[in-house]
Amino acid sequence: MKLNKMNTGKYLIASTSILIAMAILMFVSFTATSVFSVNNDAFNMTVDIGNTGPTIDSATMLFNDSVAGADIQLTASSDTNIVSCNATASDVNGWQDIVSAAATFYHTTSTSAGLDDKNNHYRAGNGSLAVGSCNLGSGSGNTVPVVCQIYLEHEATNGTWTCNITVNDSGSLNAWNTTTNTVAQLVAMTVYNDTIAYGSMSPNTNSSTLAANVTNEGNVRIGVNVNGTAMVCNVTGSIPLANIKYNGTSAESYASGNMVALTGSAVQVAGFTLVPQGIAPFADDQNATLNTYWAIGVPVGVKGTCTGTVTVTAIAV
Amino acid sequence: MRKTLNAWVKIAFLSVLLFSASYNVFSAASIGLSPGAAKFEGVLRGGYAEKTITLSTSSEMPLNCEITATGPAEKWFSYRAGNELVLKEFVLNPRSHQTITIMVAPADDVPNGVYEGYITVVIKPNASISGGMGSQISTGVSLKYSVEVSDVEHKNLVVNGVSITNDATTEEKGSSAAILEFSINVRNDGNVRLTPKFHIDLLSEDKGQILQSLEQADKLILPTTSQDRLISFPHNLTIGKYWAKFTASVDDQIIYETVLPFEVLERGSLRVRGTLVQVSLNKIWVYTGEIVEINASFKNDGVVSTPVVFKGKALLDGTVEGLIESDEVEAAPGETVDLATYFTPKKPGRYTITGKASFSKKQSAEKSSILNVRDIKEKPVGETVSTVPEPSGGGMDNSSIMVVAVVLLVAVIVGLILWNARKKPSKKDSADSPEE
Repeated sequence: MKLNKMNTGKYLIASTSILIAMAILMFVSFTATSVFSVNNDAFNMTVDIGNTGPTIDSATMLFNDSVAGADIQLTASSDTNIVSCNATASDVNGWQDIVSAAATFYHTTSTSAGLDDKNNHYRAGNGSLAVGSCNLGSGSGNTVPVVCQIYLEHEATNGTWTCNITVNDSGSLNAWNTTTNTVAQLVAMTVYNDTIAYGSMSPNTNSSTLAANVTNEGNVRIGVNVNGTAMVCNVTGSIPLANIKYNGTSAESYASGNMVALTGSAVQVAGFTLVPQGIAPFADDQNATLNTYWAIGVPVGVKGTCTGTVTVTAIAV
Repeated sequence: MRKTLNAWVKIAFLSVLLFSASYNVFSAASIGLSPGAAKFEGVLRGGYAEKTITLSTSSEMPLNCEITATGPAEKWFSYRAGNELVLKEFVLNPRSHQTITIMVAPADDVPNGVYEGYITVVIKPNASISGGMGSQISTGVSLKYSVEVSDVEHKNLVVNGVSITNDATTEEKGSSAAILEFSINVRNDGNVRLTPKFHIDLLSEDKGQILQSLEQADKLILPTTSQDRLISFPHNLTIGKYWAKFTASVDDQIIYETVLPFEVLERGSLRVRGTLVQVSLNKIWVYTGEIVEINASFKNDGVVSTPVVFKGKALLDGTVEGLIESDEVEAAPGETVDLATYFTPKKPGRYTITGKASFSKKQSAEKSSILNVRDIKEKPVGETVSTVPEPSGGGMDNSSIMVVAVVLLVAVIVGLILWNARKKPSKKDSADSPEE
C-alpha cells in the first residue's frame, strides 16, 4: 500500500507536470504559429492590398455634349447657363474608395490653377468660390460616374474651354483628366431706352443731344449698326432722315460736323466698340455700357407730333 | 387732415415714379444670338443646307421679332422658329431662348463663290412717344453669314445611334403580332440629298440563326440635316433572349452596322420591374475577422409591390469565399429599399462583393463593390476593429485560445491540488490506518 500511495503521489506530480508542459507547449506553439505565419506571409502570402490611386479615362469624358460636337451656346444677359462635364472614374480599391471630385472650367486665356474669373475661369465642387458642384453617382465594381456642373455667365469668353475633373480617393491620392469644347460667340445687347424723346420743339430749331445707352450682354466685343425711318408728323410734314443725327463716341451738338446723318439702311457706328462685362475698363460685376448720342433738327413746315423708328443692332466686331 | 392728405398724395406720386422707373427697366429688352456667325460651306447650286442658332432674351414680356437677311444671298434664306416655318415675324417668349433654323437654298444659276451678308433679328418697337418729337428704338442683333456655292458633290451619311425603344415590352402591347420599335438618328453631313436603306435581322440568342428580316428604304434626307426615324418590326418570336442586327447603307454600301440585344417577356411581366441601384459597403478597408455591412439598394420601377432579396457572393481572386443573402423586403412601387446583409472576411486580399436582386421570379443586373481586407496581424497597436466569432466551423483567434487554455490549466491545477489535499490522510488517520 505504501507503494501504492507513493505511486499515486508520483502519478499526480507526473500528471500536473504533463499539464504544465502541455500548457507551455500550447503557449510556445501559438507563439511559434504567429511567428511562422508572419514568415509565411513574407514568403507566400504576397497579398498587396495597399491603396492604389484612382484614374479617369479621357474617353469617358463629356463636356456638355448631349449632341456630339455641339458647341456650348450661352443666352443673353443670363448668369445661369448650366454647363456640365461628366466622366467615369476608376479605382482598383473599389468605386467607394473615390470619395470626392472637383472640376475647373477654363478658357485658353487661363489655366486650371488660375484664379476664378467670370470671363475665363470657373470652379465646381471645391472651395468657397465654387459656382457649381460635382457629384459622385452610383458606382459598381471599380467605376463610378462623376457629374460636375457650373453656371456659366453670359460674358464667358468664346473659344476653346477645358474641363478638368479631379477625383480623390480615401488615401488622398488623386487623378485628373481633361476634355475640351467650344463656347460659341454670343452677340447680345440691351438698350435701356425705349425711345429717344426730344420733347416739344419749334420748327427750325435743333434738339439738345440725348444719350441712348447700349449694354453688352454677350461674350464678344460688339459694334452697333443703325438705321431708321423719317419722323412722320401727325399734322403736317415729316423730319427727314438727314435731320436725325448720331455720334458713337461723344455728345456733340446737332450742328457739329462729327454728327452723322441716319440712313434707311444699316450703317456701322464709327468708333463704337463695346467689350463684354468683366473686360477692362469694366469690372467683373459692372455692366459693360456705352452711350450713343442723338439729336434732330426740326425743319420749317412741320406740325404736330413727329415720330419715327431708330433701329440699333449689335454685331460682333 | 390736410397734412395727412398731402402725405398720401406724396406717397402716391412716389409710387407712380417708382413704378415708372421699374417699368422702364423691365421693358428694356435684351436680345442675343449665338453663335455670332453662320458659315455654309460647299453648298451645291440648287442644293440645300441649314444651321441652327439660338435666339435668347431676358425680357419679362413677349417680344415681337422680325428676321431678315441682307446681302447678295438674301433671297436664298428661309427660317424656322422651333418647328414652325416663319415668313418674317415670330414671337419670342419672355425669359426664353428659341432655336432658329436658317435654311439656305442657292439658286440653280449662280456662279461658284462665297456670298456674304448679315442676318438680323430685331424686336419690333411698341413704345409710344408722349407728345413732342421722338423716335422709338428698335433693338436687334445681327450675325454674319457666308455661303460657299460649289459644284463638287460629296456624300456622307452618319448614323448617330440606334436603339430598341420598347425592348422587352413587346407582349405588353397585347397584340397577337408583337412589334419591335427601332429608333434611329441619322445625319446627312454631305451636300447631296440621300435616301439610305435600313436592314434588320432578328437573330437567335447564340446569333447563329436569322429568325426574321426586314428591309426599309428611308425617306429623303436633306444635306446638313439630322432626322429621327422609327421603324416598326412586327415579329412572331416566343419568350426569350435575342439579338437584332441593324445595318444602314447608301447606294448599296454599308455605312453603319450594329448588333443590339433584346428580350421578349411574358405578357404582363413589365408590371414588375426593378433596378439594383448599387451595392455599397459600410467600410471598404477592413482587417480579417472584421464584420462588413453590405447594403444593396433596390428601386421598384414597376406598378405593383414586390418582395425582393439580394443574393450575392464574395469573391477573392475568382474564388467564392462566401455566399451572401439578405432578408426579404417588400418594395412598394416607386420605393427604394435597402437590403442589408453581412460578411466577415477570413483571408486578406481584395474581395469583390457582387450580386443581383431577385424579385417576383426576376433578377436585376449585377452590381458589385470592392472590399480591401488586410491581415489582422498587420493591425497597428491601439486600432480597434469590430470582430465576431465565426458563426460556424471557424477557429478562434490566437489570443482567445490562449485565454481559454490558461483558464483551463489553472482550473485543472487547482482541481488537482484540492483533490490531492482531500485524499491526503491526517497524521492521526495515517497512524491509525491499518496496513493493507
